[in-house]
Amino acid sequence: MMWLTPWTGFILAACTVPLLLLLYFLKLRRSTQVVSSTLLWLSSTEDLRANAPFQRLRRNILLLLQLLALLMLILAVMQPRIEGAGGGGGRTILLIDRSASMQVRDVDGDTRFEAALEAASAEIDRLHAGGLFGGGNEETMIISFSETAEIVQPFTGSRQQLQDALAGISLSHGRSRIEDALNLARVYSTNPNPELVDRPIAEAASLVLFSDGRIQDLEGLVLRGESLVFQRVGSGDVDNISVAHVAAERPYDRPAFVEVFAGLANWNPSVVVADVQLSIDGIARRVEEVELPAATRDPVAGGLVPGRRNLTFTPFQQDRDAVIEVALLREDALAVDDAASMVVPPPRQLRVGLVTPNRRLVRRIMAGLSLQRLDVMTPEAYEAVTDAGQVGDWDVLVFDAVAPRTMPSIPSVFLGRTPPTDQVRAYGEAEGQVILGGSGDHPVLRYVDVDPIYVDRARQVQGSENAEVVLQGSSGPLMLTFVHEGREHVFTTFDPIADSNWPYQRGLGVFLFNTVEYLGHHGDALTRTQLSPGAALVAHLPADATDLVLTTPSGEVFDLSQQDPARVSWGPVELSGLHELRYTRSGTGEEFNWYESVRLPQVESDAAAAQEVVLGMQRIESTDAGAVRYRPLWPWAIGMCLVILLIEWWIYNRKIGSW
Amino acid sequence: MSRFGTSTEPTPTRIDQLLGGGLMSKLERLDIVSRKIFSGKIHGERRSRRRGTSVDFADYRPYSPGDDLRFVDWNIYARLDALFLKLFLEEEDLSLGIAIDTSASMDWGNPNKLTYCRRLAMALGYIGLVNHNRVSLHGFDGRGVDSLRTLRGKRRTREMGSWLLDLEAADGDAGGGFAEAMKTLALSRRGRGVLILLSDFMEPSGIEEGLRFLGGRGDEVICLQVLAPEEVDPAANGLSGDLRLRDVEGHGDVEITVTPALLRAYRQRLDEHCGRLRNNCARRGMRHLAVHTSTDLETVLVESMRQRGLVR
Repeated sequence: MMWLTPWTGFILAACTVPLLLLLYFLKLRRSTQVVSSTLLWLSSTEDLRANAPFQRLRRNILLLLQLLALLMLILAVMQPRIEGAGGGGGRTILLIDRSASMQVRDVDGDTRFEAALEAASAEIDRLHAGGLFGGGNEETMIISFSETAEIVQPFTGSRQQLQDALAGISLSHGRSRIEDALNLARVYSTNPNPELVDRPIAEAASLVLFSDGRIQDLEGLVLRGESLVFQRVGSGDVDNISVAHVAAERPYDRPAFVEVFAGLANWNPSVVVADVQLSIDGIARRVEEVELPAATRDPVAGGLVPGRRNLTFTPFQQDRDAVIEVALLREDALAVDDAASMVVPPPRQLRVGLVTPNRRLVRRIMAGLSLQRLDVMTPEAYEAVTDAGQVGDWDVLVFDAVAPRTMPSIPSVFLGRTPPTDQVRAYGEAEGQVILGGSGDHPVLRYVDVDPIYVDRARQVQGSENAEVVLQGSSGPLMLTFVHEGREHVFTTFDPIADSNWPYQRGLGVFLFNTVEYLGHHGDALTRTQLSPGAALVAHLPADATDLVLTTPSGEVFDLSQQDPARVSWGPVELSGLHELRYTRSGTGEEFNWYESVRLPQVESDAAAAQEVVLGMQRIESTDAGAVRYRPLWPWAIGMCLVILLIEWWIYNRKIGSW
Repeated sequence: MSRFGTSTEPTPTRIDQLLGGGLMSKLERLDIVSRKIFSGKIHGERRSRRRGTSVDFADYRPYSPGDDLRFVDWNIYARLDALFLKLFLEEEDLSLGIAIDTSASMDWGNPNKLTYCRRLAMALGYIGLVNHNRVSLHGFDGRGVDSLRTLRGKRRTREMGSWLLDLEAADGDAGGGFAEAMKTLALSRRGRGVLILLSDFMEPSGIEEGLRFLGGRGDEVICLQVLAPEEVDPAANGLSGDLRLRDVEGHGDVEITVTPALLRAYRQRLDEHCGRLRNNCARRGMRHLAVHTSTDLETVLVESMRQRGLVR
């Protein structure tokens, strides 16, 4: 037990206790009143029997009670408290923030995450201390959260289990989102067994949040009866600059060159000068010194607006694929956002297979495209290839007024013939259609004027829920895209050559170019948006890809060989950085690498620890994590004092006969 | 506001201040009622145990030699040829004693209890004098009994008034108790008659023994318990706060804090005290009447005492 203000209590006791005793020694000043007889008064009153001081003190229950009440009051003033007392037999849920900003190293040389784990460990020790104030039926649960929440340890009273579970929590590079964690906490606070009638349906739990307070989804959340203690880790003053984004592009006129763009952000209130390094495949190519403007405070929202600087590196020759990394060469509190990388595939021309009953127009258009190779074949020749079990090395197949017997595993264009798939179902024909509308922003119709098209005859089809109508005619869909076994295909329900006036317009050529480019390059890194932590990593590999091995930025290795190479998925990704998927093509025995770059969410770079968290209308002030928690006893002393005073009042009234 | 228990009216110094002319004329129509028949000393206006010469026929008895022939009923002698004497009731005077408690506790209250007793005694004595009773006045306290004996006739009114005006209360504790004074009073009484006792009966040592002395003499005793308003309802008459109550007769101090509960308890004790006195009186064939000094004297005599059959 500790006393916060013992001397105040001693001084108070020294002043008040003798004063109270003195008051009892003193006679009450009474005025004398002559009466005819005290005969009746004597028998009526029991008040103040003898005035001899020691006789009065002896057996004076009122004085004893008043002394006791005064003692309780003095105890309350001295503010006693118990260190490490348990939570009183309740349920406690520890919420551990493992988001990217918890990697900031600003707690005595440790990261915030390490400090949070240490504080949580101390809290577990405190809650399950055992002994007189240990709280025998204390139960604790641990939930870690980042992009998603995870129950690390369900409710248990075992301190060892809790400590083991705590040690198993790992960092994430995702954002800090607490809603899932609160929902999980509520679900587990609910009594699922209606037979336990002695327990309430929902037991409000005590939540202890170990975080830097940089939580993204606080708005709209409210506490529903739970009590929340926010143990802050980290400081509010953080030196941090970050690479906000990286982009790369191959100039149209020089496909062997790569141009890299980087966005830099300064989260400090002062201007920062830093060196930025561009690395290609891990080898530093350029270093540039940049001056980043100071961060400012948004006058309306109140948030921090980082000072931004965009940087464009001089194009460099890179005629093969490469991993590009932009890094800031300046040490700051949060290292994980100091570098960003991306994958640039090699410049690639497409290999296209055209299956046609020798129609010249389509062949001539396709021959006019800039392709690496165009293989023109009859339907019979194509079927012979597939019958032989070969897949072919084409990037795109074009079926001109023919349909294969089986659905190809290569992205394909079907002109006027229904593909053999359950994604589209033909049920008739419609004649004389005009265009009602099209998905103008779809890549296959870019720069294509569809309004003049008149379709004389088209198949009436119904697409599955995975099919997207790109062009809508007056009697039904005229063009659809659908995904079959992870590959995207384009299907025109009419024969553009025989059944429409499209051949007389230049739009047909543009359409074929767009479609081949779209299907051929779809999924390339340059066109792909970068993933964020929490999302799933998806790769479309060649059908003969085997021995799939994924390596994360932290060096962990996962074997994904069991998955279909047409659609390899893994997730959710936890860390930002480069994920490498290595595979072997069974046909050639060659090894290939597939890279996916995961971007750190920019909000995590704003890493200054918050003083409070606001849930609904409730502001929860932070307490420093790691500080020893005490249970104050002064409310008990005040309560005891009041009870004693009530008893004293009751006895006094009984003595003077008011009741 | 006057001090608690201190009289605001002046002490009477003249006889007419004790008994006004208007009240005197009303009192002349009243008489003291005696339930018992006592033997008197001389011929009077009240029926006696003896046979005498009044006009009220009582009985016959045979003639015996020496009897006064004037009382022989000659009509009977003519019819029966035997001599019988007619007997008549005798009317004699009544012995009326009025005893006033002059202890210190009586000289208290507003109106003062002793002053009130003086007036009451004056009125009762005047009734006795008017009706040709032998009136004796006694003042008693711890010091002893002071008496004024055998007054008869209206012309003795002034003498009675003077004695009452000279009556003084004892100062503090006078030593002897109520029982001692009653014993002295009982022994000093001559003949039997009506004794009216005026007192507050606030006696720490009890009143039973004193009443026993009085009851043993055969007098018809009427106990008039005189109480001041401050004794009946202390709070309404200004008793409040933390007080040390000092007994005027020096029977010790009591420290009190006036609370509703205490007042309720006091009222209960007072009722018990009055009830105890009433029971004692009833047990000994005495009559009891509580009189508050705030009550008008005429009301007491003409209404209260008449209703209770003490006067007619």
